[in-house]
Amino acid sequence: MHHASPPTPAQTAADQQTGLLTFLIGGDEFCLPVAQVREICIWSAPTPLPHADPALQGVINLRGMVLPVIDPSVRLGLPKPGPRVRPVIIVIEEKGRQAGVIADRVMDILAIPTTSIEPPPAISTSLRTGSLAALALHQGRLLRILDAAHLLASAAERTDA
Amino acid sequence: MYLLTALGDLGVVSITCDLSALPDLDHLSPEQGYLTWAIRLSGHIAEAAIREVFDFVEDVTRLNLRRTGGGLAGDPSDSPAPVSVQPPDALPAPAVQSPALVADGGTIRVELDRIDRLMNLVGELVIGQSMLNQRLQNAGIGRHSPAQEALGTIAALTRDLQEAVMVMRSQPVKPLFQRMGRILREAAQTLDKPADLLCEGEMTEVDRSIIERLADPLTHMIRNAIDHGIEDRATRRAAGKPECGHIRLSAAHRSGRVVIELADDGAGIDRSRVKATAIAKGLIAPDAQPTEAEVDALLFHPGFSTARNVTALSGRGVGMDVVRTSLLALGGRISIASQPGRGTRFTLSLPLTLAVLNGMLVRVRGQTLVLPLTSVLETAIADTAGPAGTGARLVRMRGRHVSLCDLGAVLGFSVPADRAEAAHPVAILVADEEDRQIALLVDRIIDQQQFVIKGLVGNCGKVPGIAAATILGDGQVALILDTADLIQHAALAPAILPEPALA
Repeated sequence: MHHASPPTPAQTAADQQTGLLTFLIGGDEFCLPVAQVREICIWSAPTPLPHADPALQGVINLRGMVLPVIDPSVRLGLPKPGPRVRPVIIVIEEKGRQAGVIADRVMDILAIPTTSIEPPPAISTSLRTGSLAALALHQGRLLRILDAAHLLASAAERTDA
Repeated sequence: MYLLTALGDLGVVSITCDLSALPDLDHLSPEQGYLTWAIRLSGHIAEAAIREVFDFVEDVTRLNLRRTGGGLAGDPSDSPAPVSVQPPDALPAPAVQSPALVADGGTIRVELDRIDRLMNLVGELVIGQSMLNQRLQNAGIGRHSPAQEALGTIAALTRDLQEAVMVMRSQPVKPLFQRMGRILREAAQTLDKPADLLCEGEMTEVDRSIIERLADPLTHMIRNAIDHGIEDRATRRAAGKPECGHIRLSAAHRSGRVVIELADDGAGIDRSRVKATAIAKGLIAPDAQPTEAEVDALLFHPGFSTARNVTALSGRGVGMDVVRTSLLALGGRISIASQPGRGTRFTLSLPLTLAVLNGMLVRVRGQTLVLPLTSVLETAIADTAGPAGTGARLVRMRGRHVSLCDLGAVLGFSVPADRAEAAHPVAILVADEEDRQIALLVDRIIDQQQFVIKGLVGNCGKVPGIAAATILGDGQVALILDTADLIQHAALAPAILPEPALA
């Protein structure tokens, strides 16, 4: 269990860089702004909640706090993942609400210029609308930045229903 | 220090410590004693007895004995014998600390958040410790190994720590009772019914949050007692009672709960009027023959009021059912005992804390769940061959048929039951506040223990049938069942299911 630290001290400097945590879901690479990532913790089996949204895998114990855990592949409309090998839980926070996001592997922490982050395309094909916050081009790679608010909010809204 | 205690056994002791000879800490020699103890012993004590106490420190202590108060020789209990002891070579370490110990323990104000945080941390410690225990066992380290013994010590300390934190959150009910005294005087004045309040067990300690939430229900009950319980002056005189009514408010600890009693010496419950009102309001059938207890229970029915006159104080028809609802929300219970002409007694039973719940740990289809013990009435080996055919399965428990609810199916757990675990399913009879009962079918009962309650709502939204969560010894989250919600769902279920085609 280690805390995600800001990528470079230059993050708040004049050239405005954004820290992104990249990780794998299934075989696909996604990322989240490090500002929204609280920590990354090792896998512990979630306790399923009855009648919950299929994306809500259950709850885990994070140092005494009951934390909901979301399977992003359901939320993103990706094919159901096979058995995972040593997955991790990325704890994200958005407007005071926290949740865990299951990822197969954490890859890297990148610092990219804020100017290279673009809004997502208006027409999304494979990914469900709203799940992407932005796109970024980094060394020829296209990074997909997930919308933490969407991952979290829909989890709560759907269980409310 | 032992010496001082031993002197206490001889008579009333007053001790003063003379620190004047005490040097600065820098110049303090641990080999040297500096303190002079002036000990005043009251009582008829032989000098020999005192010398005996100091016998084994004689060689290191200068002992001056002086008898005073000779003028009171006729009354031996009043002749104090001051003893001046100067230990030139006594143990200095405790001697230096002792003034602090002797000083009366003051109080400090601490924010509740800090105590809650401490409480959480202790909870974490308990979990961490049981995790460690499990790891040690998994690693094949035996029960009597030094490592396990050390862990046992930690376990004992953790328990003590947990209790100590609980005590920190506790407060005596005295301020609450004092408030009730004011409310009683106000009510008595308004209604011109003189009454006095007798409080007992004011020093009984309860979790602060419970005391806070107890104020409103108690206020209502005190007003009720004056308004409905105590008769007016003329009626009391006619009944041969003193004009001034007596109300007794008491608190006591009883089997891990707090019991608060409110008793008046008023007219008692007019059961025939309660019954008549209930029939008039359509709460019971006109030809019903309710027992005394059933009639009393009608007082808690929503919208019930026997008051002929709606007063400013009570009788607005939102009375006792609100009291009961707020008590139930605290995990409490309320009961009435009443004798016509002699008075009414309400008994409130409350948990000591809201942070911990007594629960039953059960397994259902590979999941571990917690049932609040307050709602469990009975457990039995499930007789799955009960009468079927009406769609719902029924079991006979406590002399009545209750519907059997397969907890795994209701909660939608798709994991198939472990065959070995589900070989002997258990039916647990649970009841809600209105005494509606259902039997819950579980695979196995694991244990009965205390659980630290962790909120679920806000993080995950409201989950049907689940009240909260807790963290087990192995670090896993277990869900705490909301029995009232489950019963509510079970009551609705037949309406949703298609009616079986019966003539």
